[in-house]
Amino acid sequence: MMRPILAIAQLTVREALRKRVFVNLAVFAALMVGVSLLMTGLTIGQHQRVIHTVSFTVLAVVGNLLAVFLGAGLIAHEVERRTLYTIVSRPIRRWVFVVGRYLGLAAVLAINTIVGGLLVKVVLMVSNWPAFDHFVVSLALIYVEMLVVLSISVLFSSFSTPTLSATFGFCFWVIGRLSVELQDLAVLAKNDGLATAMKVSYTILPNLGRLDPMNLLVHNRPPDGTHVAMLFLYAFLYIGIMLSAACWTFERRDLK
Amino acid sequence: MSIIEIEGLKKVYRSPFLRREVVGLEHLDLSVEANEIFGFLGPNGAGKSTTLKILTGIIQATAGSAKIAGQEVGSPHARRMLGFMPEFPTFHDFLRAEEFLTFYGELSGMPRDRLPDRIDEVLNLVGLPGVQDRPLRGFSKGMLQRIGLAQAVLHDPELVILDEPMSGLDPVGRRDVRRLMEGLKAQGKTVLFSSHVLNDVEEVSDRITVVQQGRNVLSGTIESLLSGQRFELVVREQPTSGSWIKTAEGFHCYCDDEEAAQVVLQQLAQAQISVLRCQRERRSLEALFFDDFGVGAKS
Repeated sequence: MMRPILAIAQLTVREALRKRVFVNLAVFAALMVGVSLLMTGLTIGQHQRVIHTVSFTVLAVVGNLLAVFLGAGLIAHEVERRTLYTIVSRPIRRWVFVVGRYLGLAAVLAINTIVGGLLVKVVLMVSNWPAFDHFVVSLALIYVEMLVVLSISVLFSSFSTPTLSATFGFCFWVIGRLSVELQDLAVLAKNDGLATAMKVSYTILPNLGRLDPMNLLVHNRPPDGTHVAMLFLYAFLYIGIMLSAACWTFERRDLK
Repeated sequence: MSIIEIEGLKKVYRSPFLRREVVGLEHLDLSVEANEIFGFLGPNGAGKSTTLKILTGIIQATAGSAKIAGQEVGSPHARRMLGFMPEFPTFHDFLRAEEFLTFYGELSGMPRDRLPDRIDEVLNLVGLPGVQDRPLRGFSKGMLQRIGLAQAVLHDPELVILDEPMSGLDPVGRRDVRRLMEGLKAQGKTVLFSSHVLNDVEEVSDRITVVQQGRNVLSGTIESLLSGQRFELVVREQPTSGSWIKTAEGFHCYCDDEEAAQVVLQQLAQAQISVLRCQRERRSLEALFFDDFGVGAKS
């Protein structure tokens, strides 16, 4: 079963390369150079921190937008363009297609994040500032957030149109970033029904705010290993549930 | 031995929110024998593509059963037996022809070491030699149709299902597709195809079925369906009695049945007029399609 999964993942990476998805990296590189030059003139003694926070924020935003839009088209575009007809008529289960596509896009996002991280390192090196100790952990947290967002977009893509999938995926990303606020709202809500709704939403929606590495970057604090491991476990469980739901839905779907 | 067995197949499409129902297939019974070319005919919306999509696992039937070589359709076992080209095929056009076929070979579980030779072979077979390194983006409609056929036969399936394989092809392309289908039959394969090009269906099919409003209205061998009751006699010299029509070939006479033809033959023998031809009149598939069954009259 691994062979068709890898073939589909390879197709996905090839598609990203040929459709120039990685052009965003050139924009990112130009932005990094611009920010580093600007920061040199505007900040005193905070260059290193500012470069880290700005670059990681841009990487996270660009990466998550890629996850939303690429994930939204992952199945839905294939259904619309009818390129799936000849694939699902092969002797493979449909979940193989979903998993293969997901892994392919995960590889695309990994390449994007790693190259983006290397560009930040280069900018820091050229500017004679060392990278923070937890540079790699921060990068990994950003990447895992992208994987969660991607899995949500894929789930919507398994039963909806590309536009709706992208809209839902984007909303879930934004709400997921603010889900801690839902917990606070549940405490403050005077209406019991509203409080329950907030609690349920907080439980169901991904807690993406926890994967935000800005606390580590702003304070240059060493990460708590157990906490990071629990975050990864939570993220991968969430991804597992989203992908299982996507596979289940897609297995039963009529492709018109 | 039947390779496809369909009994009471029904498909009802439901719109996502309003749950409005549209019947795609009402009740279809069909049996396709191994090693035959089977034509699937009917007007637009009759249920041809719906049937082929059910057979290939793209959609699921609402009721009834469909089996390929005894396996329920939709199962990987059933799909291992078949190759499929949809109507108006669209593919990942960022791929080069060789990458495209390698991808489908991988999905079909073909041995990797056999793939390069097999790709060359099928590209020659569909009339696209030397395009291995060309991206599909630059292919014409006819070339896409041909590469679609190549992916359908790449893994050497027992059953090849083609949805409108002649559409978009010029006469040469249509002839090539017919030859490809005949070649597959000669290799012992079975071909099930739908088409609107009645001449092609007539020329290449062993058996056909005509579907209208989700039901079969007619099935049988081309011979049995197209041979009429009337007999046609052709002579060179004009006989003195009877109604004869003059053509470039000679004089033609049509008899309502075999008995009437025998009477005319006796009269000709007595008059010592030699008969050029005496045969059962053969109708065209088009006449059968439009005149006898009124297919498409309501649509």
